[in-house]
Amino acid sequence: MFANSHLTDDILRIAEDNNHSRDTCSFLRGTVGAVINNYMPMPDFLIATSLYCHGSAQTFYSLSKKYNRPFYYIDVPYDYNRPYAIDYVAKQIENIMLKMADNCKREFNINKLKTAIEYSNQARDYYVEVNELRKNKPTPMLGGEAIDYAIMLAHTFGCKEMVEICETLYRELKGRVDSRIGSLDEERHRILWRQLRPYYTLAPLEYLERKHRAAIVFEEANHVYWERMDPEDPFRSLARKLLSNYGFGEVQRWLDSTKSFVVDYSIDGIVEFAHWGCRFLSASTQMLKDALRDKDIPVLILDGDCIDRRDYSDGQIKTRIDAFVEILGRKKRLKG
Amino acid sequence: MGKGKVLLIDDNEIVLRAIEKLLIKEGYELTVIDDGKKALEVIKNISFNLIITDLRMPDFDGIQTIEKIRQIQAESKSSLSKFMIITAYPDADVFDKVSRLNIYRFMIKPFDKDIFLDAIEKCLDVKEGMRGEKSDFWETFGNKKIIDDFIAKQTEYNKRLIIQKGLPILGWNNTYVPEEIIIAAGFIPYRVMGASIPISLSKTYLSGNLCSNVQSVLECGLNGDYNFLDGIIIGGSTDVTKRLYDAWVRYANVPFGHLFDIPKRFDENAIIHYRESICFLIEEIEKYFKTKISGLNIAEAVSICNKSRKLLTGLNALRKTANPPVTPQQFLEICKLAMTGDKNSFNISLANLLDKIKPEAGEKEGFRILLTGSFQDQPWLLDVIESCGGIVVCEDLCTRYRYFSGLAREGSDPISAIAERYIKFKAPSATFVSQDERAEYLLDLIKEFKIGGVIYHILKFDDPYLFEFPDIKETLSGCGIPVLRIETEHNTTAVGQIMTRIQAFMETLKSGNPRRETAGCNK
Ligand code: SF4
Repeated sequence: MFANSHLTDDILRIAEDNNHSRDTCSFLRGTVGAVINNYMPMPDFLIATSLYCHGSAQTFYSLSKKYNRPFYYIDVPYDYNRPYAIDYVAKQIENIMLKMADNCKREFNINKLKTAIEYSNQARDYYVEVNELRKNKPTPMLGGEAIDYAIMLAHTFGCKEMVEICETLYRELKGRVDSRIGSLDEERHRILWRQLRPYYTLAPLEYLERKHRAAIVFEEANHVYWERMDPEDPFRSLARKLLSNYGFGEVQRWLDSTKSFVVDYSIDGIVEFAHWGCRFLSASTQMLKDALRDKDIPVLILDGDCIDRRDYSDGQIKTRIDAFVEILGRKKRLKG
Repeated sequence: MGKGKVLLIDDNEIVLRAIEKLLIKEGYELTVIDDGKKALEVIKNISFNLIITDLRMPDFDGIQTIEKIRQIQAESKSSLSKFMIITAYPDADVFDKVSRLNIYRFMIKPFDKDIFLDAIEKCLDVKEGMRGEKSDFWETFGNKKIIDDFIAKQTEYNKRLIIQKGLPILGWNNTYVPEEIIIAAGFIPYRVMGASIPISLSKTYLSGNLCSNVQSVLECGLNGDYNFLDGIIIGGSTDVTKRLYDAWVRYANVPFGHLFDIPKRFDENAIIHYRESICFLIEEIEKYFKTKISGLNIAEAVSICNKSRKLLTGLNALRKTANPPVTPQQFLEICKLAMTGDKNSFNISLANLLDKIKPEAGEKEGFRILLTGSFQDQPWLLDVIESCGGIVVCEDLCTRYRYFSGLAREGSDPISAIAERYIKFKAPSATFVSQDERAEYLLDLIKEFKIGGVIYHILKFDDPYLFEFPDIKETLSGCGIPVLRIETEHNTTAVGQIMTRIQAFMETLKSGNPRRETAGCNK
């Protein structure tokens, strides 16, 4: 949000002046800066999970002390297949929900949770269909539009409105696919996008899609990796959802899903916007590159920062995209 | 009369003749014998000021010879000789035995001619020389020499363990990996660490913006430096170490690999989680190595590890004194030895060393520094701090205090006891979401070790410490404790720049006179 409104320079600088290193993730550093600058509303509590990065939990813990508000933490075992894992996570979710209700002086209503799970399932079903439709050639939706749904998905699953949004999106894409309307006048290459995007500019995605006609047909961030949940068993269902995150667990789990996208979406090349401060995402990048070598899929890694635009170089990024597209073209020509 | 009567016992003719020539030239009255038993006859008729004996001899070794001679001299009330042992095989076992003999000097062959002559001269110079072992070899050479010798012997011993390869050796990388289970399985735990080599191979599998220590460890793995390992257990403490595991098992060619999952909070959940991780590790080791790890094995391993922890804590405690008898460089080496070899032998040797270390009089010049932060296993940083006028007297590091602090309960249910130790009793690292707990425990260390300033060292891209630093700095500064943050890379660091910053820090300490009195903190 801040990146879109170009307020980031200010909040990042204030965080850095307060001993937060420029090498840390700017999403987190920016949050700290926003708190210091009083851009954030006072929270009732803060919550983090051990899923993904360590820094987010440390940051939220630290902010909870500054706000003097409770900090809740869900510990998700890395050994996701162990028999204890589901109950272990479910119990924590249940306890935290009770504490949250208590903290907000409200009664915990299990029926509301069941309804939220029902909505979440409905939205999920539409979104799975959306992702199915995106396998079509020509692609009914470009990555430049689709990538920001990922953020919305993370925040709004469980709301009634999300069901409507997902349904509308599904109908729109269905119509396009049925009428064979592509998003580009010509689709020269099909791209899988890894990680997020720079939020202060859409330039790399637009350059790829509009200038080179290389359509971003799918983004890993939009993948629906979890099964439908059972509203009658809400805590265990939520636990299962957390544990089924393929970014968690051994790297092979992640590589397998990336490889399956390559096949399912007829991918010609992969572009990753490697967010500088994210160890979690960066740590698997090189192994992915190595694993895709035998599939003969070129991978372009664009080093950058999703939030911090201070070191962004448009010219450099475009030059690298040009070279990458050149490789894709050569491969295509060789294949005849 | 010559400079003194010396008896030389060695079964090696060449050594015998070489030393004979040297000592006669120097004016000593020398008798040479090629076996210990014969010596027992000779000493009945002649009183020797000094007896130099080889250690390894057929039938009657050097230790037996000394014991027997002492007995004969005591029974006959004749003059007592001083003893020197020379050996070409200085292993830890031998060292233990020799150190109990309370002899004048222990020397490793081949030795420097001048040092050898000097030692003899000093020995025979002592007026009461004929009446006993007044000057034992510990006193003569002081704590530094004793500790250095210990390090040299134990290093040699640990190296030999790898070469001889008796027991299987399992590697581990992180102080949250329970060594107890490796020992209970009958294996030797061996910590994998990086080296000062350029990173090249590991770049293929890990991006450049990841912690340089992890990269360096992987580099060593890919280089084949750890090919002697029978397996590796990687503690998944951070986002990056989890990928270290992936890269290691995929590319570093290791027979057995296991990722040990580590929780991130100190609560009851964490103990359940950690316990489950132990059970998983046991299952995997049992399955792969076709072995059985019993509760009794685990209980014994707990006690062995506790012993090491107690001894290292004892050694560390000596550093609370005004003139620490052990240098930070020595302490680093000793901790490394504890992490890379057989614990039983280490425990015996270290217990012996502790018996021998004597308190140092006076006060060591310099500002008392606590070094905290990321992984650190190189002496250069300690040297730099020292050269700038600081003395590191305590390290809150995973290669030191965070490795040995906190004991596991001994008795029933050893698996739970281990889980409790790692979660509740061990000094926490920043890989736990725990800035408050960490700051509190640092304040305790600051008080205990009378710290004047804290150097917070972060390896580039080491997230847990990067994220923790602002909170820790705020708390410590709020308590009036000066904190300097420095950032390095495991392999390539501009030492000059670091030195300038440390020098400037020492200047600020000087102006604040925080040398012995640590500011109190009521927080
Ligand atoms: S981008 Fe990476 S480091 Fe930043 S909050 Fe997300 S997972 Fe954490």
